[in-house]
Amino acid sequence: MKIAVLAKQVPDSETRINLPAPAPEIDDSGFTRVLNPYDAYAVEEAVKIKEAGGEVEITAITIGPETVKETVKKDCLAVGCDKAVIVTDPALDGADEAAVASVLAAVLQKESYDLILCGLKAIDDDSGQVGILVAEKLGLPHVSVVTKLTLGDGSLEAEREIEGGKEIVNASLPALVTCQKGLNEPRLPSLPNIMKAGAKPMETVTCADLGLEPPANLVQVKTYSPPPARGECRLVEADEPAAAAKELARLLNEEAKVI
Amino acid sequence: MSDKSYPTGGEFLLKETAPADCFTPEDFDENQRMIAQTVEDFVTRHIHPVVEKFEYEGDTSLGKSLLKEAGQMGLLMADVPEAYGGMGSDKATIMLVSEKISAGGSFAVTHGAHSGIGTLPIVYFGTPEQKQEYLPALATGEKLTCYALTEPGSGSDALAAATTAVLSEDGSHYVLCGTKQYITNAGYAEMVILFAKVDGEHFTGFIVDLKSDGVSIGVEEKKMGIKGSSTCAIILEDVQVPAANVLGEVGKGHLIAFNILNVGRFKLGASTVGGCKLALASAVPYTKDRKQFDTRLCDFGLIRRKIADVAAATFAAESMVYRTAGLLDTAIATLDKADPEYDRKSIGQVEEFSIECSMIKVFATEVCALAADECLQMLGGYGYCQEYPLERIYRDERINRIFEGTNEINRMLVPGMIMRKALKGELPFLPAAQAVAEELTGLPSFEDPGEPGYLEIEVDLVANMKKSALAALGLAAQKFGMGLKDQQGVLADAADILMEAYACESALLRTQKRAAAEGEEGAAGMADMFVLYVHDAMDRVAVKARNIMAACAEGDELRTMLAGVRRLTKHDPVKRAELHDRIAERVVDADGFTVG
Repeated sequence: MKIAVLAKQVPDSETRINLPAPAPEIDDSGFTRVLNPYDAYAVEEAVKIKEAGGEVEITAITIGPETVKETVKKDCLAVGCDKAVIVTDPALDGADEAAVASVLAAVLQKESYDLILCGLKAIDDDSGQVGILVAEKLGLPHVSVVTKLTLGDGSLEAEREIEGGKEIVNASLPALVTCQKGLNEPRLPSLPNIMKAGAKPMETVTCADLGLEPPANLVQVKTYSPPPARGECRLVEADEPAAAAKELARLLNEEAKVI
Repeated sequence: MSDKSYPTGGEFLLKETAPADCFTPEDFDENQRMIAQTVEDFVTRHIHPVVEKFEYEGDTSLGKSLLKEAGQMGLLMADVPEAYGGMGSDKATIMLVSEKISAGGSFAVTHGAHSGIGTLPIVYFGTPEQKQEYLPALATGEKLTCYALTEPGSGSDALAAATTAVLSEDGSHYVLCGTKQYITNAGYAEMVILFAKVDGEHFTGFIVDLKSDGVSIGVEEKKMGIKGSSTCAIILEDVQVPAANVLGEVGKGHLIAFNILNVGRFKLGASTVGGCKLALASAVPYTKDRKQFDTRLCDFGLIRRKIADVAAATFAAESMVYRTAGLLDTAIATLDKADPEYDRKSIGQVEEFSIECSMIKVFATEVCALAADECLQMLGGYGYCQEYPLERIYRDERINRIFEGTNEINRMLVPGMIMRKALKGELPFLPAAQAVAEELTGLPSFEDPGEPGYLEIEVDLVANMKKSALAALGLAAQKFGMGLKDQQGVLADAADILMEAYACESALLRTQKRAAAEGEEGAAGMADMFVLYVHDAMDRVAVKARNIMAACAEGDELRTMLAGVRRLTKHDPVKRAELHDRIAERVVDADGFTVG
C-alpha cells in the first residue's frame, strides 16, 4: 500500500506577527516554523496504518522553500514517513489554494497512491480548500473532517464530524481524507529517529521537473490588516450578583445591542 | 605544555584561542537543533500538563511514568554507546538535551539521575558483560536506575563513607551494610550504582539490585524545591550483592565517583543555562503587560537593568558551557572509536577538563540564582505567589549550588587542580606566573594605544583578567607553597578570578566568531552583552586580586604588587544605561533571552 501525506510548514501559533499597519505582505523573517498541526494528524495516521502491518510506504509531499526541509525531516521522516518530495520553486511564492492543489496533484500523479492524507486545513491561511481541490483534480473520492479512519480491502470507513453528531462514510480506494483533531494523538519523533531521518530519501523538484507551467493564482491577497485594538473592558459592579446580572443584561441589550 | 595537538584542561589561562576554534551554540547542526526542539516539545506535551500534581503536590511517582515516556522517545539514550542500544552522542548534544530538559523542573533532576550519574558509571567503568546486561535496558528506560554516594555522615567528604562490603567465604558475593541518603529516584529505581568500603577500607563501586533482600527505601524527603523528584534514603542490611557486580576495581571506587561528578557538573552547567532562559522567559512578558504609573515595567530603567544584567550573565554562562562542550568533544574525537577501551578513555578526556567542568558548574549555577532572584523581583508580589512559575524556579534553583559538589568544594578544586597540573608538569603555570610578576614589577608601558579597534579595549580586559589570575595565584603559590590548600579564602578568590576570565573570554570568542561570520552588525547583540558583562567582571576581579595580594604580601612587596594589579585591572567605565537599554530592548522584543 502506498500512502501520501500532504504536509505544510506554517508559522508556529505562538509566533508574534509584527504588522503595525495594513500591508500587502507580512514580514515573516523572524518566524518559528512548524508542521501544520492538522497535517501532524495525517502523518500520525499514516504511521499508525504502517505500524498495523503489511507493506506500507509513506511519502510526505510538500511545497516550500529550502527551509521546509528541517520540518519535513523532524516531523515527517523522523516520525515514520519513508521518503519525501519537496517542490521548491520561487514561482510558487504566494501561490493560492488552486495553484498549490495543481502542483500537489501533479506530484501525486507521478505515483499511484492508495490513500492520500492531509490536514483539514492549515493554521496560517485557514482556508481548508487544498485537500479537497487535490481530490477533485485527481478525480478521487474525498472524505473531510475525519475523526476516525478504518481501512478495509480496497475501501475505507471514516467517521466525520457534522453539526450535532457524526456521519459514517464509506469510500473506495484510492481516496483522499482530510484529518481533524481527535483522529489520533501525534507522537513526537524519537531522538534516534531524528538522527536516522537524514538517511531517508528526500527529493527536491521544481515545477519544470514536474512538466508543469507554474500555475497562475485565481485569488490575490491585497492587504493584511492587524486586528482592531481591543476595546476597553468594563467591569459591572453591584452589591448583589443578581443586580450585577440585571445591569449586564441591560448593557448587552441597550448599549452593545447584542441581545 | 603537553605535545598534544588539541587543547588541554586549564590551558585557556596560558594560551590564546582563535575564535574559529571555540565551539558556540551557533555551531549546532540541523540534527542538534531538531533534538533540542523535540526535547522542548517533550516538556510542553508531557510535563506541563502534570505540573500541578508533580511540582506543587509533590507526587513523585509521576517521575517514573515520565521517565518511561522519555525512554520511549530516546531521551535516555544519548549517553549510551551505540553498541549497547544508545546513540553515543557527543557532549555538545548531551549538554543541549540537559539545557532543554531543565524547563521540566524536577524532571530535569530525575532525568539526570537516571541517564547521567545512574547510567554513566557502567558506560565508563563496566565490564562488557555488565554493559550488555544493563545498558540496553537503561537506554530505553525499561529499567530505572539511580546513584548513591552521599551518606548521613559523609557529603562533600564522600570517601569517608561508612557503608561496608564484606566478601563471602566462597567469594561469590559481598554483604553490604549501611545507609545512603538523598538518593534521587530511589522511590522507584530498580537498581543503583552504590559505593561501599570493602572490609571497611577499600572504597568500591557496586551495581546493586534494589529488589534484593535487606534493601529498604526511606520516606520521601520534604524538600524546599524540586518537589516532583523522588529523594529517599537507601538502607542496606546484610544485602547480598554478587561479586560480579563490583563496578571497576575493588578499592578504585573514587575513580568512578570523581569522574562521574565531572559529567554531572558539565551537565548541570548546561541545565542551569536553561534555567536562566526559563526565568527570563517567565518574567519578561509580564514586564510588557504590567503597567505602573501608566508605564510598562519594561520601560523603567531599573527593570531594564535587571533584564540586561541577567541576559548578559546568561550569555557569558552559555558561552563558557558550550565552549567547554567543544573542548570535551575535540579531545574525545582524538580517540579511536574501535578501541575496546574507548569509553573508559573518553572519561579520561573529560577528566582532563575537570577544571573547566567545575568552573561552569559554579558559574552557571550562580548566574541561574541571579536570574531566578532578579526575575522574581520583576514580578513584585506576583513573583512571590505560586500562581506564577518564578516562585518555583526560585526554590528549585537553590539545590544547584549544593549538589554535584557544593560550589565551595568546586571553588577549592579549580585553583587546586591548576596547581596540581602545574606540579605534575602538565601545565607551565609557574613560568607564566613568573613572567606576569616580572611585568607587574617592571616599568609600565607608555605606548600610546591609539584609537581602539573592534572590541579592542575588551580584548585587553580579558587578557588582563588572565594575567590577574596568574599573578594572584602565582603569588599565593609562592607564599604558601603546599600550605595553599588550607587558604580557603585565597583559593575561592582565585577561583572567582579564573571563572570570570574563562567566562569573559568565552563570550568574547563567541562574539568575535559571530562577527567574523555575519559582520559586526550581526554580532551587535552579543557584543553589547559581552561588553556589559566584562566591565563589571573586571571590577570584581580587581577586588579579588587585591585581596589575594593582601593575604600574601606585606610592605613594599605588597605595594608593588597592588600597583601592578591596579595597572592590570584599570579600565574606564562604560555607559551602562545605554547598554541596558539596547540589551533589554532585544530581550523584551524576543520575550526572553536572545543573542540578537
